[in-house]
Amino acid sequence: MTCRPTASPSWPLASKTAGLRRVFTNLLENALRYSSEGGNVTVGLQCDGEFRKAFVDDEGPGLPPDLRPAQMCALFSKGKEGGGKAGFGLYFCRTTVERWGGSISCASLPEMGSRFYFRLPKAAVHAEGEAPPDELLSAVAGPRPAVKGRRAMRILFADDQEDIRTLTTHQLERSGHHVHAVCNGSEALSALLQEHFDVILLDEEMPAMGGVQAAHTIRENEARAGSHAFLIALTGNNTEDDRARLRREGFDAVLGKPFRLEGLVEILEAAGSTLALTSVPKKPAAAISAGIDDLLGRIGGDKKLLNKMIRTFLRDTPIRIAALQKALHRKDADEIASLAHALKGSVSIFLAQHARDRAQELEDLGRKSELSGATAVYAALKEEIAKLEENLRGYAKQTQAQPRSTVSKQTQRLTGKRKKK
Amino acid sequence: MLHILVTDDDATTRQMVRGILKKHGYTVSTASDGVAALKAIRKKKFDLVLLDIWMPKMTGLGLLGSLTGEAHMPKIIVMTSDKTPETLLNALRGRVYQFLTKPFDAETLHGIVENALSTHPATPPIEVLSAKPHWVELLVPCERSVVNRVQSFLNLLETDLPPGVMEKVGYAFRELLNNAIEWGGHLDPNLKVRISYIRTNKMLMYRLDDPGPGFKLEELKHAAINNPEDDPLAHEQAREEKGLRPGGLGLLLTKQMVDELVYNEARNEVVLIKYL
Repeated sequence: MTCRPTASPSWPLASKTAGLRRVFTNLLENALRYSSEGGNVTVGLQCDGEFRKAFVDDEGPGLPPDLRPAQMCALFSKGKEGGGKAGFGLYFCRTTVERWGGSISCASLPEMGSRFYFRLPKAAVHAEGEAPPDELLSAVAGPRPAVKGRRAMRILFADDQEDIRTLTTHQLERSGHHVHAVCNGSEALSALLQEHFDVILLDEEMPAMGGVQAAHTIRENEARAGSHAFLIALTGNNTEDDRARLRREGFDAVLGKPFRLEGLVEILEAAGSTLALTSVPKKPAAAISAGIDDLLGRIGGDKKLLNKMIRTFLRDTPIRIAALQKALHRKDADEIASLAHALKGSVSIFLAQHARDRAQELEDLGRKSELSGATAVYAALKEEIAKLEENLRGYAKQTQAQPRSTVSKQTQRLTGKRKKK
Repeated sequence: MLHILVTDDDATTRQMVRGILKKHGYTVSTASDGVAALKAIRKKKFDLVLLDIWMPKMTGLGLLGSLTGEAHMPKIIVMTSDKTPETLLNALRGRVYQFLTKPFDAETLHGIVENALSTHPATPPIEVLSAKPHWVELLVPCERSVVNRVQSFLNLLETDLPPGVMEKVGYAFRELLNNAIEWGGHLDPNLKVRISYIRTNKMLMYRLDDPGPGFKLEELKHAAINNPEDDPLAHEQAREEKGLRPGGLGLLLTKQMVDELVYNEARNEVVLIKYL
């Protein structure tokens, strides 16, 4: 992707950055979609009298000859081949730009490819407040090409805003980093179970699980595994107090939103130098079941509650298993169904799918009073439950027997608070 | 402080739900079977009851049956992994407020509980006119929270459909129900929208009958569905003149999501069909 600032116009965009990002994201996405591998996409900004003009060029197949530009930007009109999703993108661009008193259009380029361009009146945008002239450039085009010799990092990026996710991922990848983007904290935690990342960017506010909560879990897991990823918080609450607060929550750096790519690059460079000093992560000693970590996320990261639940489960389950065995012996179909149902409920809390399926089978057999195969299913269920119990015991032991030096920041904070009282 | 009763025979589930709700500042009591729950409900006014279906002594459905005709009926959310139409429909007949499918996470639980507690206690209930798996007919008050409730319920009846179909039909139904409640019923909870859901082997059909006088399509200048072909943005201007937020794409999108969308003459009844 080439960025071509043909002038240094003042683009007063402070109040419109989000909208503009979406317009550019849409145009860039389109351009990339119609580009073949190795092709160029060029973004340019120009001064045009009383207007500011921006364009995105691609080297794709060009526009369908029978379509007028106005039709291109209508709802649900898609190019003929390789068309994208709902046909909504250009329509959005058009309504947005026109609401600002501008216009958008497109044309096939003389040799190959197409250009989508829009212009905004200077007067209209000036009224909304000034912003640094290069704001737009950094918003769309990314930083200077990646600094040679810098090490490429594995970056996990969690943000619920699709446009930011797409654009930032694109920019970071362009700088040579490996990026995995997800929409919330729990997805980030799942990704961490699969893969190692050097740097983790977490938006503070995301649905399902926010950045702070995810950071807690990450730090706690790291305390066990003896690793340390560089955590960056992205936040709309960008006061000094908030920064301090987020650092206390376990983040290494804080980046205010909306952020400029330069800001992020600076932090990444700083991260690169500290990361070289940190140890290569060990594999967790015991295979802590993904299910348990997932469950911890699902109950809001409350470890105390999780440990309580594990204790209750370990207390109640053997009683139920014994009762189930007796019911099988008595051939009491109703009781079998009812106990199997109860077991199904509790094992599914711990996301133990195999145990859940066996319990379901047994419940069905009980409800249908078909007890001939029940003993075999019971045996399989018992085995699955034994595995789960072992796993849970291991987890409980591990969390209780943490050496003092690796006690998580969260716990330290809590004890600190208590002392103050 | 708001008081919630959690009823489940599984101690781990009770503990989890209780732990999550307490964290959000609710007072929580628990019961481990239907009989104990009924006793607790008769003794104390709960703001909300979270109810498991399969429990010893008295099932959740049994409890709902015993509660019909009680002077004070608390709002009830059924937590269940049992998604058979019979259970769902019986629960709906028992005036259940909403369904929560097990297993669930803290966020979902909290969201549903908060929603349930924030709707006015005097909101008229959803009436069940027909509760057969292939023909569900409901009379719902014109109140916004109804949309999520009805949809969460109907979604459970549609779990056998491919996800893409479910999503599209869900979108279309939601849009139409919102229109019926907002434009037809003017958000007056004493007015009702009649919803029919009819499922055959080859199609899924919804019919919505709103209490309003209908509308003329020509008057919907603010909706994209009405734009002339050569001016796909005409409605935007109309919206700006009327001071409406940008949008107006609902009906147009709805039309794209289903196979048939037909109105009666007055346009206060609409049928949508998706062929399966």
